[in-house]
Amino acid sequence: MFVKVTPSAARQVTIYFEGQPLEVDEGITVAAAVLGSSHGWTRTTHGGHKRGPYCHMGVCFECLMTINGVPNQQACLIPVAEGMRVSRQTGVPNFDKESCNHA
Amino acid sequence: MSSKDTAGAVVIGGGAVGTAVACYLAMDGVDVTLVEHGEFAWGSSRRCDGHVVTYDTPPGAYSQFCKYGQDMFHAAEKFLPVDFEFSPEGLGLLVDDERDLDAVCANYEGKKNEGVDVTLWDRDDLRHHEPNIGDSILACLNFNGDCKLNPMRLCQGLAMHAEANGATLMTRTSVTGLRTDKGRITTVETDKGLIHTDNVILAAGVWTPLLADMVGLSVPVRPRQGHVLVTERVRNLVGKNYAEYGYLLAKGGKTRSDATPEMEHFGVAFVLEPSHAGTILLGSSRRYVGMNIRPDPTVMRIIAQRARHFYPALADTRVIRCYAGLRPCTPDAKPIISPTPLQGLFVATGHEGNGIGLSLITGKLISEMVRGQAPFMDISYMALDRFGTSSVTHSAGTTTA
Repeated sequence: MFVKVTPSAARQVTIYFEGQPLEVDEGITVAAAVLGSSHGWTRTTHGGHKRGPYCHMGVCFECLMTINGVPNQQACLIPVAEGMRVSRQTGVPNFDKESCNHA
Repeated sequence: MSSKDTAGAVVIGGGAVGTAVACYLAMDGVDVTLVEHGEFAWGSSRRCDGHVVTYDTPPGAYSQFCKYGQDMFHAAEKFLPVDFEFSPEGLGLLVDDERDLDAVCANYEGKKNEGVDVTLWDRDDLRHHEPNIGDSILACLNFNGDCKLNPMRLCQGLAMHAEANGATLMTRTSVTGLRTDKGRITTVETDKGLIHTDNVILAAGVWTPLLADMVGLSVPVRPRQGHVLVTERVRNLVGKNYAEYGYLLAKGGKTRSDATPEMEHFGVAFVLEPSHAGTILLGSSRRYVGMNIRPDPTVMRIIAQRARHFYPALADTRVIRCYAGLRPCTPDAKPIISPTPLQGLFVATGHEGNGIGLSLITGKLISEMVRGQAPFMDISYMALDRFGTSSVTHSAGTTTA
């Protein structure tokens, strides 16, 4: 569904989407990486409906994903990085003492 | 919205109190017209939280008044046509300072003797029920009967039920004047025309003094600004509603032992309400800044810091929205539910932070007063004349703002 319009000249990095390794161009966003690999949806609403990236500029919040264990991350604003662990967010995420980054 | 040029009673104000007054008058058979400057829940009732509580009043007559007001929501949930997300899930009063423990325990005993369902959690109990609580929080006094609801849905439900019982609803209608004749109210002037009536109820919150001034009546209500922060949706972070013990002290204007000068300056005390939608409402602040409702980033920051102290994991959640509202505040922190020296003119305002919780009982009492009945409970201490302000200029035939 999504095709790169320019040939890839960039260095490749490996991210892990739902535990599966994914080779993607360095410098693209997590949302682009997920769409480009034909995975489509990135989250579900709390009612269970699937959602995918829509605005790609940080406004619509449809692309919320769990990145490196932290939920509610805007995948369209975060560039991929080597070894990044990305997973879909289903429903409303848990934030708790253990999973959070707070000091 | 419809309009009529005569009414048995005109309620001015479409917030929680105004819609409740109109609803009870209509249910009691009075031909009532509700006039609202904007839409329902247009002012303070949409810039607040939805706590319906008894925890913040010391044992006594006023505490029992609040309890009765709270109980009325259980009945209203059955007859109102809108699901107003009523949840009697309880509220916990969190203690983070050892020096406060004695006072909290005294409050516990006093409330228990009054028949309120309260329980005390020690440090371990609290962690069992709230695994995400901050490490320094010592205890929690639970008011198990305290409730919350969605204020905007409540106002909508009350207005709809009033209309179903024959009330006329006039939104987007401004009151431009009040006419009197021989010491009694006769007419409400609006930008949509005149409404001739024998009874007018001023239930416009912080705007009530402006209306009362049209007939030379002084109502000592001051706008007190309060902030609420709203987080993004989260799950399982917090189990129910909480407030910090210092909230009671801040509300009572007392100094708190562990508050920073900034917290004291802006009256910041931790209050938390998880909403049905999954967001969390965080408060609170108290200060007098006139009619200003622009949120202040400094106040927002202090509230957020205070919230992190009680729930450290909130540091990772985003704030998606912040609003500030104006609480109608009286000199003695009790509402004004009262007739006035002008026959047919009644006042229902001054509930400060309890307007949502006390809306139904205010509606019921005002309906009794308008219909010439004795109030079902003693509310003499909520009369307007306790402030010695009966300075009505009876000569004013027509007064226009």
